[in-house]
Amino acid sequence: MAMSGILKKIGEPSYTLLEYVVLITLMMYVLTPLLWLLETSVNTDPVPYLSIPKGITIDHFIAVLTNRPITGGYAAHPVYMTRWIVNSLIISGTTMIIVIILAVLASYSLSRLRFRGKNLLMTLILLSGFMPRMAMILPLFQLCRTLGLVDNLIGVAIVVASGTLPTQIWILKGFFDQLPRDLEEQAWICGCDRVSAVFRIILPNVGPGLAVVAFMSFLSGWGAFTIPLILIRREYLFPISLGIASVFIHNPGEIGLVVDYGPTCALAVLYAIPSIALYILLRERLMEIRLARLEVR
Amino acid sequence: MNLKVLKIKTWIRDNLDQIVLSLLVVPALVLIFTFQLIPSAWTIWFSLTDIALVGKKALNWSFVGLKNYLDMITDIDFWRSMNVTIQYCAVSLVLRFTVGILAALFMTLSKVKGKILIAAIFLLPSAIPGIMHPYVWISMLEPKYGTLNTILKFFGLPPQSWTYGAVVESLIMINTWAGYTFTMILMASAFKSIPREYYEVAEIYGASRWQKFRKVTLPLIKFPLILCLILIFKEDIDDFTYAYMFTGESPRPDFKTELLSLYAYHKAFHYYELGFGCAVGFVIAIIVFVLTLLQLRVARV
Amino acid sequence: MASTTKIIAAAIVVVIIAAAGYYWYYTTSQPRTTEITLMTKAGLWADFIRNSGVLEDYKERMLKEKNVKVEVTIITAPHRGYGEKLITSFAAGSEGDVCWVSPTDVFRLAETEYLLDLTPYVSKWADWEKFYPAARNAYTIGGKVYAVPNDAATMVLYYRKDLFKKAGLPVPWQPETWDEVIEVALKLKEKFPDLPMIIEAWYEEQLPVYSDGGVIYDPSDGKFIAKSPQLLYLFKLYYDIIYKYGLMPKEFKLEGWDDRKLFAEGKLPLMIDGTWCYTEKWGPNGPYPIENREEVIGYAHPPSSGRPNNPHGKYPNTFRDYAWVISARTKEPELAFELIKELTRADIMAKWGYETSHLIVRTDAMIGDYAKDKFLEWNTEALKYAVPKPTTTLFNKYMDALKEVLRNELLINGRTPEECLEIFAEKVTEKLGEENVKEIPIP
Repeated sequence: MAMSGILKKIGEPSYTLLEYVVLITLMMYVLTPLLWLLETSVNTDPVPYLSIPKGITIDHFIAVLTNRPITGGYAAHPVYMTRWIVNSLIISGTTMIIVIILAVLASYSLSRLRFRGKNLLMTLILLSGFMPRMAMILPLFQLCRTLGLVDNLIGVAIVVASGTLPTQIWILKGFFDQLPRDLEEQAWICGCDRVSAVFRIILPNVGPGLAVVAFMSFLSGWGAFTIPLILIRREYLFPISLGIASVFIHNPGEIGLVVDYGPTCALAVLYAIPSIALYILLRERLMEIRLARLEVR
Repeated sequence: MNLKVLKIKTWIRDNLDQIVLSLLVVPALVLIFTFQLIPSAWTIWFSLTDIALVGKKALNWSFVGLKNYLDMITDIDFWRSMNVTIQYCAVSLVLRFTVGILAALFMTLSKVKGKILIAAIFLLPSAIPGIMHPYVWISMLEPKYGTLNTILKFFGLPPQSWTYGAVVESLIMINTWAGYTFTMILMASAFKSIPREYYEVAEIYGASRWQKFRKVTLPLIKFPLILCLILIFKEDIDDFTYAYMFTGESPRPDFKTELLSLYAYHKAFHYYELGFGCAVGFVIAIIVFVLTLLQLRVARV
Repeated sequence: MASTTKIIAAAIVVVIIAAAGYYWYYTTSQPRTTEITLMTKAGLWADFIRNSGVLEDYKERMLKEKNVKVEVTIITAPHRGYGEKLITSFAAGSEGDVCWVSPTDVFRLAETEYLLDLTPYVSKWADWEKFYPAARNAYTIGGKVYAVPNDAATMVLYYRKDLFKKAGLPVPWQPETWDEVIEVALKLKEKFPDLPMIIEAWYEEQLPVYSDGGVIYDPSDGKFIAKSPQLLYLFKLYYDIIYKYGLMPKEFKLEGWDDRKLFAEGKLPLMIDGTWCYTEKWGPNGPYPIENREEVIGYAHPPSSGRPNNPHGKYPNTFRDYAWVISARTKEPELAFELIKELTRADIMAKWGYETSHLIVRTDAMIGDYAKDKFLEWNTEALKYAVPKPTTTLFNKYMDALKEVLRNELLINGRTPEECLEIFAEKVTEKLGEENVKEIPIP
């Protein structure tokens, strides 16, 4: 005991110093690539590598937000970035709505129901995403074509929602599971029927869970790239991800092309802001995720 | 007749609750089934044929059973690709997990100040949507003026060719940078869920920080830890966006970046052998499938 | 009462008939509306179409001539991976009515019966005769025309006139054989020992085969060539350039140097690249603009190997080009073809050729700025010597095998040309299958 007491006294201070060193290293690893993004978006003379800005301007942000045609590169073709932002918002918003509605319905009933095949169903739901997206391109495309979902922002939202739905159901069920089964019964005793019990008691209690699911599904839609790549062909329907991909580097190694880096990086910063904001607001909630465990029967 | 109808009506009335509840699951299941399972089944069907994207084979394709799979096993490129994939996934797993768990520690248990700021900064990479990651990193990796080479030159070390020669290292760097937040969030939530009392009790017994970590923290985070490892591996096998950005439409002659998923993509869309590509895709799917079953097994504990 | 009802009923019937009559008149006298989709590359290509006013002219003409209101929607895919996206679209059934396609893809798509046979349409089109015969034949398979060519680009041996003048070399310059090129390169190396690289001849890897009078694919029996004296020449030429004379360092390929940038900066005096580089890369709007292009950039045809009686002519070359096709599944073939006619108007093509330095394949397109552009005028001659590329789906595999051997065996392992050829023959036979390759004995 005395030995560990001495160790405690000797060992402790150096831990803290070591911690700070590791922390600083990690933070530099995380931040350095992003510095370029920030620096270029306000630089008067943007270049594709980190440099000391010669002047600071918010003109790039204004250009993006006011739909000013941005030109550059060869055969000067204008690019309209505001449209992309609108498209991304539509896709993400729709995905979020679809996922919330369907996930709440599904998780609630899966949490409350008892039947023999429940574990099997939960397993199947999780396993449904086993095929890599790229291998499914052609069948997915044919399917969406027959359903009329090609070149359609809502179609993209539906497919993205279907991709993120299994994980969201699992997460939300975990939240529902934490509420005691008898909660509805107690509400019942107090005179509410099932439906108003759900709305008045259950839902408010899984508020954090809903927030997490809403946020994660919004982000799935906001960052979606491969699905829009497959489904959207018309340029004015591009979300931000496709838009950036279509104007940036043309051939590997051929850096410094097409569009002004200033507005493009400004757009990227704007692209990142919703995600960052949501993450910070919900970081406490994120910690409360308990992935649902299968019930032992 | 009337009695039977009456019985059915009573049964419905009694179990209305359960019936309505079961119906609630249906919309979600329909969506998942339509857009995940049907295309998956279709792909598996393709993998059993010799269908091609264009050319004569696109018109006269036929069922060939397991021929694609046999070809795959005897194809040396497949094994080279498997080799590359396993190495990449292994290294990536270790790094993503380590960085993630360190970040989680800093966000929760450590004694450093300014946790909110730290949390915000550590969450940044995943807040930046995936499409921007390669472009952001190109500014670091560019041979002449990129940040990494500038730093190396500053310390007198030779600049590397990150986008071509040291491409695998670059891929791992980008993937770790973009992917550690997943681990971080899961492990942070696990750390947070350990009740303070346990640590206080350990303090009373005079445990050092290291002992506290070993005896209190570790046992309680076993479940999320294993879950993390499985989920990271699943993600790494599937995703080839970064590899594609650095490789392009045709495989590199030295095959260094040919992840299994990229190999499937090239086979299907560059060589137009759709059937074969789907077969490789299905092999990846099986690996993911097995891992998911493993994940569920752990979840039962 | 009854008679009032009858009158009202009759009135209603009359009104209904009148309304129906008016409606029928209205819909049949109005132009019918329809939609055509046009698929091309995003950015430069799609924007050119939008800005050139072609679509407006087309819509006007359709309204006047055929009483149809056509809405043209442009579908795009990014330049990178466009070929793949195009073929995937055809396979999935979501291609445009009119599409921008490269020749190798034209053949593959035609084979798969995805393309509309244009023969009946072009036979009625007066302007079709104005297209170069070579261009017209390039897209004729089995007597049927499947595409209307739009532009072409050949390989050009670019050289920096300023470095030449400093080294005392004659300008303008047109080498007749590769040996001449190497001589000049060695002189430049002597004069400018600090240059990182003297020559970049690796862009179109198969070019030396043609320089030596060979081919990589024999259309008469549909087999690729796994071994031949010309292939040996290819390996020898690259070996000499890299190892024997030290004109191109290994690092260029291994580290992926940007050759176009080096040329623009004056650090690379000789380079083989496409026609389009002149404006697309080094023009005022390109990523590496060169001041005073006319004085700095010199251009020559890639030479032959010096073998007598080269079947390809004095300056064997390859070319790349794009054309317009119509999908076989289109619902408006007539209108689609009218759109192609509009897109390949002489003045539009001349504008395109000038703005992006591509060669135009119509004899009557020498107008406006395009005609005044000396470079393009000069380059048109190269079309004579251009050898078309193989059009089967195995071409990708062949080229990938060639690139692999060049990189792994020649560059990294430093094997001799003969060894490389052996390994290449083995690899190609393995990858393409024995029935698809053949060997030409080396004397």
